[in-house]
Amino acid sequence: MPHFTVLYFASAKDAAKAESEKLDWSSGIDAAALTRLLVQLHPELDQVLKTSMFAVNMEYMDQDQSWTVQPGDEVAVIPPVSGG
Amino acid sequence: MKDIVKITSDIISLDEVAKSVHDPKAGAISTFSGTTRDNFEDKEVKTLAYEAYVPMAEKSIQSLITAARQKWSDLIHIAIWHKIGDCPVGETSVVIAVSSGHRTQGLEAVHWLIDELKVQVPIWKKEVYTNGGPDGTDGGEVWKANNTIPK
Repeated sequence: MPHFTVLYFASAKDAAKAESEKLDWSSGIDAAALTRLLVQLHPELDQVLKTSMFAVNMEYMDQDQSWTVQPGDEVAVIPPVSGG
Repeated sequence: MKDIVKITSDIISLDEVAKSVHDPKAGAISTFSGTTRDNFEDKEVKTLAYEAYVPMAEKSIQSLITAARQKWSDLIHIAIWHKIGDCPVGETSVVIAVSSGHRTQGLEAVHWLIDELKVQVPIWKKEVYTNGGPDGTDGGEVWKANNTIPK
């Protein structure tokens, strides 16, 4: 069964109580479906995901672009950044 | 022309980063040094901690450097260091150093690089507040957000 990886940082890590997890891949998981899946797994992520972005293989995902998770992808939940 | 990108849990020395961009052809070394504040609104900050998505942060900073080189042709070496882990109040959290033939482009590039870093690079700061009580217990903690969204 192919997988993909989800990474959590900052407030997302606190909400999910995990740094990363491997999830079973299936076809057709777009950004909305991924959001639903993650909230199902970790209800506390609901608020965090409203202000977060996804990065896919270390590139910010363009909100408008049509995208689905591919097997082996590394998807990161990126809450609003605060570096500097 | 050197591009130096470092995400480190070590203490960052402005002097060391500035020296790393020295060049005989440089007429200017422009730097920015960010330090951690001891207050947010009325709350006293006890300590701060930074976390990064390190490989993406490095890649993202490298992309900013590449973009800066396209915008300004006079830049020689560019170094950007960012702290992760605990960063006590008053300690350096980020240093940017740019050597350039003349000062104008170097100063502009440093200003642009720190502005873009704060918007785009996946690094997060957590503030832990003191409650000022005699027992020294924490007064809560908050992941901060810069007032911008990534492009």
